[in-house]
Amino acid sequence: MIPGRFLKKLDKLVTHIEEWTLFVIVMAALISLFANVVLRYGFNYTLAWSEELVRIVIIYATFVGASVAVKQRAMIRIDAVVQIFPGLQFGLTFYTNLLMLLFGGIMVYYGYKITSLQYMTQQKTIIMQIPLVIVYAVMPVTGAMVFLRTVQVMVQDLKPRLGWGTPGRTESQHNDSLSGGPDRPKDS
Amino acid sequence: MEMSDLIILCVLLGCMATYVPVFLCLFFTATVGFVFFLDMPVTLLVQTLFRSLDKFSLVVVLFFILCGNIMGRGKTVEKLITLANSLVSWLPGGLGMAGVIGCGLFGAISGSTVATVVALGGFMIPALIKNGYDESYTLGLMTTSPNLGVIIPPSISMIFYSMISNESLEGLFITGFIPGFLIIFCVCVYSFLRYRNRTDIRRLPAPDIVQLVRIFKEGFWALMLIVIIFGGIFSGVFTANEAAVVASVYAFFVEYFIYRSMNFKDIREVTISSAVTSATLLLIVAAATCFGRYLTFENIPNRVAEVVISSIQSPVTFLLAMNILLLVIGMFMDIISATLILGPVFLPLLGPFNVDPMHFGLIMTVNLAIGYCTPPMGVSLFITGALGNRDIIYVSRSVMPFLAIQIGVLFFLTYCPQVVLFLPRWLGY
Repeated sequence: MIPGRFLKKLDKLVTHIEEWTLFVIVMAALISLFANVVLRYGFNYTLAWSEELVRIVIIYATFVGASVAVKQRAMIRIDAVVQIFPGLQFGLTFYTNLLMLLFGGIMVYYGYKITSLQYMTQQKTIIMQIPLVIVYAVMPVTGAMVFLRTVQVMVQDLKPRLGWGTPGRTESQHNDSLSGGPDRPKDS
Repeated sequence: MEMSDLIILCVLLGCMATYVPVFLCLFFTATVGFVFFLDMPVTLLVQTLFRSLDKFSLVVVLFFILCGNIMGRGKTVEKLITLANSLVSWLPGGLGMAGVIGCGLFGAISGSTVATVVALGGFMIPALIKNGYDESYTLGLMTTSPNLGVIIPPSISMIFYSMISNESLEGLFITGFIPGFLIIFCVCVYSFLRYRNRTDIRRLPAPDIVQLVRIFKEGFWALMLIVIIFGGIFSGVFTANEAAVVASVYAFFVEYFIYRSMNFKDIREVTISSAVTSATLLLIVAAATCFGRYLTFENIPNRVAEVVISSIQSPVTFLLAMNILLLVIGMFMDIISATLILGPVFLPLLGPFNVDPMHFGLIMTVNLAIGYCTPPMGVSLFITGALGNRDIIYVSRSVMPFLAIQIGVLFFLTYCPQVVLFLPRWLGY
């Protein structure tokens, strides 16, 4: 039971970090860009750092969002085959999750390599003087998060099949995510 | 075609057919190409993945998604529907017209199809059926009208097209106007003709001046949002970027302070879910850039161009072939993935056939959007089928008249480029 409870706490903690990171950085980008528009038209003045900030926000939001998207099963897929043969869904999801694990691994390994290169050169962004190593570090970190989230999703899928845990539990685990249900339709 | 091209194509299609997330399909195909055929390090690929996100222009995606999501969550959509409803529902087939106009208005805020289907279909379908409209008409209407979400600006897929083609985004947005209006107009005429002689359908009395004023007062804040986005972009006051930012701030302001339909928790959730949606799209952008890098190294777009140019002579045949191809691809693939994957391959073809890239961007968007609800595989069919508890065959049959209208509009704008291009040209894009 103890590892179970520990994992649950870890899940909660990571969810917390993911969600607050996304909220804070997106809001920061929104506010700085809005301020920029107001200043430009009202006072003919531009915030030089806002563009740089926004670029970092996009990188962060995309990689952190990737980890959340794995958990919420919100990745965009072509689901024609699954629509025709619903029976294949379980197997295909399992196999795509394996590929996702591989992707997480690639992100961690090569992301770490690229980041440590930045660490050696000690470069900084031009205006805000943020060390590039912080910007690049998001890759290995979120790579690990993608990996963990994929494992989590796989366990959720396997549990009822193998008869682990109490039946019906997995359902509520899916629904604690934000925009809801598993397998959202692909968006455009 | 060389052996390596064939293998890459098989890997890509194989991944796509087996439910692998689209960005992974692209990334792994690129990886296979880099490692086995180009003998280049994977580090380069991962670096490309990262660098392709380091672009300021991508922010427009995030904020248009955010803006659309705020609207869907809050009261704005409801206000827009009420507005459309009270303006046209005294006409025969009026509620149906309200449905398509509502989709158009919502499309003017959001850039996505599925968001529109879910936001509007959920309550328009029961409302139409309750008022005596045929089920087949209702489902057909609400399956196809959400296409207006991508055709009427702002459109997320046009943002991506402008990124790969370097056409002006504001200009592309403006081209979407005329086809959007044409579709709305034709569907309204169709509804009018179909329900002209029916007496069993409840109609509201025509509103008088006092009522009209009240209706506009009620919908004022929602309409202002459209004024900000359109007016801002068309008059050149805002760039598309700024319009998205200002519209998001305005939408938060209206929902939080005026309609009071959102609290802090809602704001947080909407922001997060928008960030996640945009992340899933931007991952595809990043992976498509990696894949594009491979295509360029292998000089594939130019080789495809050579083959096509040697086998097709006239621009008309070329456009027709494009129409059919995109319609079929649109059935299986979502608009954004298709734009990002096929755009770079098709763009070198436009010069030799004398097709304007801006015009082609519009054709591609409208075409792929129609593919989205084309039987037998279009995704929208499955969504409305689920909303209306009907099987896919029933929905497929019900979309036919609407599909005919949209395909008619598509052909019209494909072969009369002057009609769609005059507006952006006139405004100087």
